[in-house]
Amino acid sequence: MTHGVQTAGKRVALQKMVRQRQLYLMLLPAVVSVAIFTYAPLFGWWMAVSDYKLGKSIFQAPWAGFKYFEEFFTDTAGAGHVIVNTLVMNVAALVLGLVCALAFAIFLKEVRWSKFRRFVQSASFFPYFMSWVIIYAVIYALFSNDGAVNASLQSLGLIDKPLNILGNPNTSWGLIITVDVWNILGYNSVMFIAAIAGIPEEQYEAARIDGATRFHEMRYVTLPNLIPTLIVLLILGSGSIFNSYLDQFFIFTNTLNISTMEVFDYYIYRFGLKQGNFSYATAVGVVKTIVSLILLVGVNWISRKATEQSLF
Amino acid sequence: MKRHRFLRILALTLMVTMLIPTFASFASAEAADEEYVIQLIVSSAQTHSRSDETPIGKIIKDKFNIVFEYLPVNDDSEKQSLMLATGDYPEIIRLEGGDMVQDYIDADALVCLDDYIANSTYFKQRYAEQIPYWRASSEDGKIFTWQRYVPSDLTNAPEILDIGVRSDMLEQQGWPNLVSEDDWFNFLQKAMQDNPETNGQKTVGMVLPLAESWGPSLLTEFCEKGGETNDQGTNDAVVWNQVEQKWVPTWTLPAVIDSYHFFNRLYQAGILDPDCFTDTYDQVQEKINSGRALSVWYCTWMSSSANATLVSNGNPNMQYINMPVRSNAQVAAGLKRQIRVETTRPFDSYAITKNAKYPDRIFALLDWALSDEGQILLQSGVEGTHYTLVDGKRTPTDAYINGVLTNPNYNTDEGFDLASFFGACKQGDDQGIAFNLQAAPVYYDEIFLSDRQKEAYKNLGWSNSLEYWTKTGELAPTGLAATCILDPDSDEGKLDEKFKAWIAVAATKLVAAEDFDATWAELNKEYEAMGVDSIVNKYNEILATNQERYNQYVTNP
Repeated sequence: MTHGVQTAGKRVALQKMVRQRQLYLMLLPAVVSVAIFTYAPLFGWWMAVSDYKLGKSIFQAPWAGFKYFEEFFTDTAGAGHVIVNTLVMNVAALVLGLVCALAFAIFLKEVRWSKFRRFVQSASFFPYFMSWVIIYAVIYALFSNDGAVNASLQSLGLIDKPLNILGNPNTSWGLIITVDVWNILGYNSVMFIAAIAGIPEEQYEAARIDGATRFHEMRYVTLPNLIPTLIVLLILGSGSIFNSYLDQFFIFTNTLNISTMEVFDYYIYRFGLKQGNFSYATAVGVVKTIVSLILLVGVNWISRKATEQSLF
Repeated sequence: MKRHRFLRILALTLMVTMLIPTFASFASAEAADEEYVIQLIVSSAQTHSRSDETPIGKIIKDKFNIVFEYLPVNDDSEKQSLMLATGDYPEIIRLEGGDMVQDYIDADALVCLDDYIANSTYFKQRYAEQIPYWRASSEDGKIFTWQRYVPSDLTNAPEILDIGVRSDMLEQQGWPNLVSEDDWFNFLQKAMQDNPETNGQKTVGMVLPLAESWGPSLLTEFCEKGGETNDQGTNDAVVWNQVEQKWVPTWTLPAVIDSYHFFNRLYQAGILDPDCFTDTYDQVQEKINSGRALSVWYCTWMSSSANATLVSNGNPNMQYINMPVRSNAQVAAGLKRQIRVETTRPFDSYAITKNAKYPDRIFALLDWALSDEGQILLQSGVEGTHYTLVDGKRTPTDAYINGVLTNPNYNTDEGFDLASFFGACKQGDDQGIAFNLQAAPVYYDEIFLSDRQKEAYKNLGWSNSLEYWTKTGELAPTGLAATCILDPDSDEGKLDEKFKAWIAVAATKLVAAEDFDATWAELNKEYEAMGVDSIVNKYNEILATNQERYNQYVTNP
């Protein structure tokens, strides 16, 4: 009896798929590209448990066990600062980036002059499309020893010697977080602006009838409506909390600030690509992925418990 | 009937057997005749995309029908392991370091040269000294690579890389003969005080490209300025003791500590460019070209193109000249400097890869390039255009001298050394004139030095631009030193990689330290915890093994 119900259920599902075949066909390119570019490379994880030699097939590499994982965790000079740097910079950039974008979107909604509002929105989005090389050129022009900031501070008599902002381990976290927030502000705010557009006008009208000021509308209508979007973006962001823009850190890292600037992706690049230590670098990459997955599930679970909203 | 069928099959088989070599010979004739375009990865900017756009490249094309297409990359050493991993390496490849060469050999990516060498005309003659060393550095004695700038002999001006300094600053301070670190510190400090700006830009005292992967190794260079040791140009844990013929630790060498201390003094006094830690080669070149850098450390080769730019920008008196530097202790001890003459150069190795379409044609070209005729064309240029024969000796033409002095792109425009795999041997012809006229001592000053530079050396009281070094140094062939290569997969090899990463950071910490002694002591604890002695011991073990192999190959090459 149960078997019969299951078979009938499968048939119905199949018929539904055939009926909606156009939709499934539209989905196909995305599924294929994710399979090829995201899941197929996971076969490369074999390198983490084998002694892979450059130029040879990974499946010819002899079994190495978990020695590369052990090496990473026992080598405190390697693991410690990389984990701390990645977490501090990415968590701060994620949280501050979302909070700033939320505030930016709310305030932008209050701008009545629509042309100006659209201009500000487009201008804020622009940095997201700039290459890190160009961004660094701007940062260099501003913050190098001969840059505009040092020159201004010196001419005002506020400092005697130029501040070495680009090569100072004490300023690197602040620098990267600030640059990241600025870079992602426009992109994140688009999500919030889209969510604001979906808030029913009736809610604002009701608030105004109740005597709400514009600030009250922001505080009691707009903000609560944006919390679900904020949570979704937070959960999605937490899944990639160990991911960094390699090109950004490639450019911003130097021998003076490497102790506070080196992140997982740069560390993998340095050991994997530069030194040809692919097995070790893959092991570090596997650790990064597993921790990211745990974080994603954890944040989702916390969100479900705390706000009854979650992604899955 | 059966018999007839058998005969028909036999006749057909015979015909096919006879025709195959005929078609094969057509195919190989085609292979020998067709234009062969080889893509070369180059690290420096080229002024043309193909070699046959240059006068020397045209001659190569006419003679061999081979053309090079250039693919410029920023740092080809970083790409080498990636190319091997993907199998997408070029037909001819430059490999940096013995460990990378070994990776390519292990992956069966390189063409073994033994048969080619046995049948070569010029290769085995030109590299007669090197071949036993190359065999000694490999476990099975096979040769897969050759190297650039070897062999080297006394017909060439020695490579001196101390400090390039702006000549107008020397003039301003009465042409002082600077040598010791104190001399330089005081000179640069005064020069910066007297000249806070250069052409409207802030003056910097000394520049060097520490952001390059090899940059931090420049901070140890006092180790080659006098005494027993000799620099190998790497961030390795060991340095070569030329006098005792053994490897010693880099970090604890007194000259290396003095070297770090010198840079620390310069940095704290604001003389060393504060942006040096983030400066790449191009950024340093720009600072020299504009003249705002009073001096350049080690990379004195950059000053030749900078001088041409300074002349064209109307600042001829700013031109840089090379001057010596030594630590105070080295000056006091008065020991001779070991001027490195590289017997082999594994960090500049070249190989034909298995991706080569026609390896025979490549080797034929290489073999010819290593003849006197080839080296003269590639390094001296075309007779009548770049040089003329006077009493049988190659003499540079005025057009050539003028081009070198006034056009920063002259060498690449004309196609000199149009492919680095040609070897650029640092030897001379039967008249004793170096193949590269710019390196021939008899012409060195005439070609390389502008009137301003000649005036500067004259005012310093020097008879020629190399006088100081020829008087205070002795030539030191590196011999077996460069054949010692750690297995990257060994414990010592992995530790050496860690050390390289560590010393690059430690060196910059020392330079920027407010309390040098305390920082050194703190870093020394980290150094001792690493157990670098095992690397030193391993290097000396390899040296002993290679010595035995060398003795075997030198008697039976």
